[in-house]
Amino acid sequence: MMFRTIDWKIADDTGHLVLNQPPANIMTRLFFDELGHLTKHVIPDSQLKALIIYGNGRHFSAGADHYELTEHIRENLPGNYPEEIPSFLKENLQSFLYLDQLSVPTFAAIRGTCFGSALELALSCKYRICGEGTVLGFPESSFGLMPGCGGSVRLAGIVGKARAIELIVSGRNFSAEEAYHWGLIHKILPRKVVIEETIILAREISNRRVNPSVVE
Amino acid sequence: MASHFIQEGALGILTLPGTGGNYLEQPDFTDVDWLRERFSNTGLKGIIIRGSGRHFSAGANLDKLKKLAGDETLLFHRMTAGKKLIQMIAAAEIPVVAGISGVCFGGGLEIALACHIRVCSEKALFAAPEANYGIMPGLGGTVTLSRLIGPGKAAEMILSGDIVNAEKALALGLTDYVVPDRDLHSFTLDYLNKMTADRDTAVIRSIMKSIHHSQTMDFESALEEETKLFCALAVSHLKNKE
Repeated sequence: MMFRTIDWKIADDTGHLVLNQPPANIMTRLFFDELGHLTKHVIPDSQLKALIIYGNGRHFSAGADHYELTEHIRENLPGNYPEEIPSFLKENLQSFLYLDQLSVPTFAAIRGTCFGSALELALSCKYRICGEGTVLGFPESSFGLMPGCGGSVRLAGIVGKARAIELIVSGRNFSAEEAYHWGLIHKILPRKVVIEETIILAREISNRRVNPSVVE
Repeated sequence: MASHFIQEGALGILTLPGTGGNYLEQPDFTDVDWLRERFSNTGLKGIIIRGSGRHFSAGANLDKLKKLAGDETLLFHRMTAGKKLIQMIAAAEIPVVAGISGVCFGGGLEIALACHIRVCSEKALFAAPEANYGIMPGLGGTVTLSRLIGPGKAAEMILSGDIVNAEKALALGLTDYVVPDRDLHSFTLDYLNKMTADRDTAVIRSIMKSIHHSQTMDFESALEEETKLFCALAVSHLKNKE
């Protein structure tokens, strides 16, 4: 299966999910559709020991295009809204939840920018490894919106309510160093080695999990 | 003994009772309906709770509490009212920041724990001293403290009754910021103003609801509710543009 917005490959039992619309790797509708397909039909049939998510090029991703997103909501409001919400939003939620509940270690290897839905995607992974100089944030409130795919719930679960309120209400950017201090990310590395080091880390952790003899 | 409430721009400032050494004369430290009315002001984007004068709050006045304990029904009634106040603060749909100077003990600590964010002066002191008097926190403190700093550290602080200074409070996660004593109020105002400036009240309320859900609902329900809240904002956004 070929995707247009995602580069998917398996190497050494590790799945590589690469956001592939450089330079900003914007998470378009097509991206979410392809992510849905990947999480429903491809990953469950792959015998993965680990999964790594990263962006092609300098950036992880600048997040969703909120103009496109709100337009798409307008065009797809169900007849019984607000009891029901557009089905594509539920699908997105399911894709992220699938990653969240995956029974192998999952890693977001983050370089450059990681905003909005991209940060929601990263929060759906178990480990977040950042390159030096990475900038993160939930800027939705500055567009009159809020995170819509688990960001506020997941962030509060990781850094506590106080920090989550501060970051999501203000919408301010923050650095990898701040995020590390709050326990939001696990490691900061020189940006050139982020992907390769994450691959090594994924291999170490997953091998230990499935094959204890490696540790001995 | 009354608390008082003023509005500065889009922020509300609740000052706890200041007479008699900053003790809380009753578990229901202010009138429930009075506070509900203040909190439901839809023009507000945030609330600061602070003490009167040098201290945030010294907690319950023990003599008054002993007298109150003589009447079991009245004690229960007053504790229930006190819990309603605490719950009102915790469930507020705009950010509530505690600006803590001086002592923050017992019931005062429980008020601070009900707030969403805590800023304290470098001279602030925290304690849950109830066990020293053969009682225990009664306004939710065992639950809120455990949630904030973990059950192990909470047990240590509540069982020992020991005083925790600002530096240790920051390390424990009991406070979010420590600032010089003289800057406490200006920092807190500035912090909340910066956070909420240019933010629509509907956006603030939706975000707060969702973050509350992260604690009050199971994970998947909280996720669904968030998407609903997001969708409502997106739809109202589109309507405004038309």
